[in-house]
Amino acid sequence: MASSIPPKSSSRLPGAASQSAAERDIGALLRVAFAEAEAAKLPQAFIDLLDRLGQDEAVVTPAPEGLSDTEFKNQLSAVIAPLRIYARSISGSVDLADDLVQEALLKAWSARGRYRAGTNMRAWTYVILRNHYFSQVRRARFKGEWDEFTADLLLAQPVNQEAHIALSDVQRGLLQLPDLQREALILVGAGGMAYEEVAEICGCAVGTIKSRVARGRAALAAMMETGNLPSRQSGSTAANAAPMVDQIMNQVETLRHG
Amino acid sequence: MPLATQIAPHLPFLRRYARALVGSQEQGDQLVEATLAAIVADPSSFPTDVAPNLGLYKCFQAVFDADALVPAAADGGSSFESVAAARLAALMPKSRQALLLGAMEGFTVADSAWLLGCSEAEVRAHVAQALADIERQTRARVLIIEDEPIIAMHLETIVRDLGHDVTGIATTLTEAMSAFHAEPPGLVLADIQLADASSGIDAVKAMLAERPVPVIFITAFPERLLTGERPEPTFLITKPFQVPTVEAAISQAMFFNSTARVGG
Repeated sequence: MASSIPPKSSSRLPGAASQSAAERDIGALLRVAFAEAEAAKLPQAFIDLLDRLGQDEAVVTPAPEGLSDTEFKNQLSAVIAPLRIYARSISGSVDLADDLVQEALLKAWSARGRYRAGTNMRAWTYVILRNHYFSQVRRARFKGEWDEFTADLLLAQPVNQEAHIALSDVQRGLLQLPDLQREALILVGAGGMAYEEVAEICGCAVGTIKSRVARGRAALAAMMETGNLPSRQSGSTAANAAPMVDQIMNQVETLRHG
Repeated sequence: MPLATQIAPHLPFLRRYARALVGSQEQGDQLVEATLAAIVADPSSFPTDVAPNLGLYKCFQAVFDADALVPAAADGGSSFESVAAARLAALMPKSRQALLLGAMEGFTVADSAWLLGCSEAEVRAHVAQALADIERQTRARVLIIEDEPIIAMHLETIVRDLGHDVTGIATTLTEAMSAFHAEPPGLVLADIQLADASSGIDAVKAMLAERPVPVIFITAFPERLLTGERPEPTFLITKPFQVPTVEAAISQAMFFNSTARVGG
């Protein structure tokens, strides 16, 4: 509760320091309850009387008043949306724009005593935001931009030279598998077919295909891991392997469309 | 500095004071207008040896006759204002003035004494009287719905320290309803997750269906409450709670006799 009372009011309450907590609480509640009476516009009769009071003196009209805190808050919150648009347009960055707006609102609130009722709230806050932005920009000239993510992308390119070698390893490895396992693995893994479809093609149970795929995968993975592969120069070379794989893939394609 | 310029910034506060004092905007404004008219008729009567706000309030006191005061029924204003006005109307005129000058307007005891034309000790006595009266008005019988014994005891201590009575501590929906019927509370402090997996929200819904009662939810699961369905307009305190938060919520709920959120 007490936190919603703007700090400005406390300077108006010299008696608060010596009051009991209960009295301060009641005071805060009463100020909330009668906030309307304070924020309301003065009746014309009062203004007329004030004018008459000032007539014999040099200054006739009362000085333009600052707004009450409540009214200031209302007017300030009304300009938040336009402020955000403006901040985005000058800064070109969503994050920076919101920071700017927050800073501008803070500055406006702490300078609310200098705001004159009846002048343009939007223009006033725009000036605050603009000044703040340009002083930021001046300072930012000496700072570099460092985006961790972009930097990572620039500096660390994944190596791709070994991909060909890995591929030929897999192809040679496949040739080492028993025919049935190889067939199942290629149809499911490379052909992207469902176990049921493969089972139909091979004329056996789904469970069989699943176990063939699993065993084939495990064997292939073991070969890749241990490097236990036939030499590239040996009899069943990678040169032969490639056409074989292609052949199987072609079969897959025909089966699919057929 | 011209007198009008000195006075103008303090008029909204004098208006608030007048309105709270007599309980109606119209009568309050009449008094303020009469004060201004008196100053216009005789500017030399305005005290120049004190701060302008003190001078203005002093002129107001001269116009205002406390004994002739008949508190009017509050005309319009927010519901909080009408409740506050009703609370103030029940105070003795002098107590009300002392309380408003000190607590609401923030004058020191010495200033209040000067404005009211009595001694500082009298002002202190009036304020104490007003606070005691309001405390009596807002004293409540509180029902605590909370299944964790330690927290329930903690809440009980807080409630008793504020001068309220605890009618019972319920740990389930059923217990809560029977305690509610056995001794109708003036305030309910409700947890949401209860012992037998029943919900404090359901308990409160059932109570509100029977009669209105201020409710403060104290829960570790605020999202369960903020669903967009009734009973939504409540005080909501999240666990782990700060003692001053609970005290403030209780005082506010009792002062305004409502479950509604104020300010924010």
